[in-house]
Amino acid sequence: MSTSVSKSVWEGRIPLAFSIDGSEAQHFGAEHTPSSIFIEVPRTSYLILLTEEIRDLYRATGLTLPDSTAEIWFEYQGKPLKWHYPLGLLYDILCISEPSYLQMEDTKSIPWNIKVHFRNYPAAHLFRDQSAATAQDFFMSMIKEADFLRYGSTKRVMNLSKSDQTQLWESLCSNDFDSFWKVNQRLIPVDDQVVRHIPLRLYLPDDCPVIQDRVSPRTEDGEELTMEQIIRELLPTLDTSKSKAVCHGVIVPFDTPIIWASRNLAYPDNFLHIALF
Amino acid sequence: MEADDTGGQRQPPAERNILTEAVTDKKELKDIISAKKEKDATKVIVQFRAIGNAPILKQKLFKITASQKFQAVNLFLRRELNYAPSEALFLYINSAFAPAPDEIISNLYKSFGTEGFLVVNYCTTAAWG
Repeated sequence: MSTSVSKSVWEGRIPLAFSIDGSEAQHFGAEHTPSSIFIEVPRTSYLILLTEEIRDLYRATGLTLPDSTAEIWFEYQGKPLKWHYPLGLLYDILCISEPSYLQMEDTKSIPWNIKVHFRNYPAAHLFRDQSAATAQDFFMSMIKEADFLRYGSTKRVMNLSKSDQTQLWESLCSNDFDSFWKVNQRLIPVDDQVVRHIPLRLYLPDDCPVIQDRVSPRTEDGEELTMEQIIRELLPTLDTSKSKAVCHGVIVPFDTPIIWASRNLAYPDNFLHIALF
Repeated sequence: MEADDTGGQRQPPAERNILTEAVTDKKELKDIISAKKEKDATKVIVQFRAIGNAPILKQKLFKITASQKFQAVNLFLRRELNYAPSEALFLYINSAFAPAPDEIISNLYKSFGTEGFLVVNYCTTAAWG
């Protein structure tokens, strides 16, 4: 594993600019519409981890807001943002892959303009049960899915003590690289150990359903496969010469070996999340 | 941010070109996306297995539309068990993990299906964390 690459992935950040509609600010008792609020967050973080801070920041601008964060949600260009997706992944899908696909003029939106809502939660698009505890459950489930894909069981995760499991999530929340990897290194394969499948998800533009399948990292002859070979296997009709794969805001060369990519570019949930366009 | 206060020395950022580079013909990609979005009538055979005190179903195998999300499995099982939405019901795949409600059944089957089934365990108290 290349520590410098996984450290860069961990240290990747996105500047966010939050704004609120005037009518909504008025509804909550503000005399003027507050100006944008700027926060920089790790790409590996989740919106759900920001709701309390956002509530407090908007309270400070004069809004009278309830203590509960259950009604808070976020929107970008009319789309409710999934609070259980890493922020970096949402950005790659919505600000890099989609605009490029639709051939929109400005594909890179920095800071990323996100609209905050404190009411009318879109329960048809987002899970109702939004809380840090649920987000932690989803995160651990992803880690177990990844474990199952790699080794055919969740033994490695289940062998971690309760406090080690908690440490995975809490070190993500506190953006503590060393603390995270102290536990996570026990989940990833050592050196030449062969895993059955690579935990991988592909995201195409335009609200396309997510693609996930059993992905072997090697051919039957033991030859290591590249990102391009894997993508061709999953999407045989895609012309890869006209496509791009984005992860952590960076275009991943198609000849990247999939095993290297999985070890170095996976999100903390142990999945390789690739936006393709 | 856009103001140029460096006496015209500032160049437009070069990295923009890579990301904005027009993908000239995206027909294949468009076709793939519309095919993926089409309502897929393919069915996945789900095998329900009760754990602990959960009531056992008379019939254990059901065909469920593959393009649906996992929450459809939850709703379906609740109907079969006559469970209200407020009653606790936990679903797991392969006695191992609980997928998110928005995961697609066909993806779960392709990734975790065994011997032609997608095994879904269910119980009334949390089993595998």
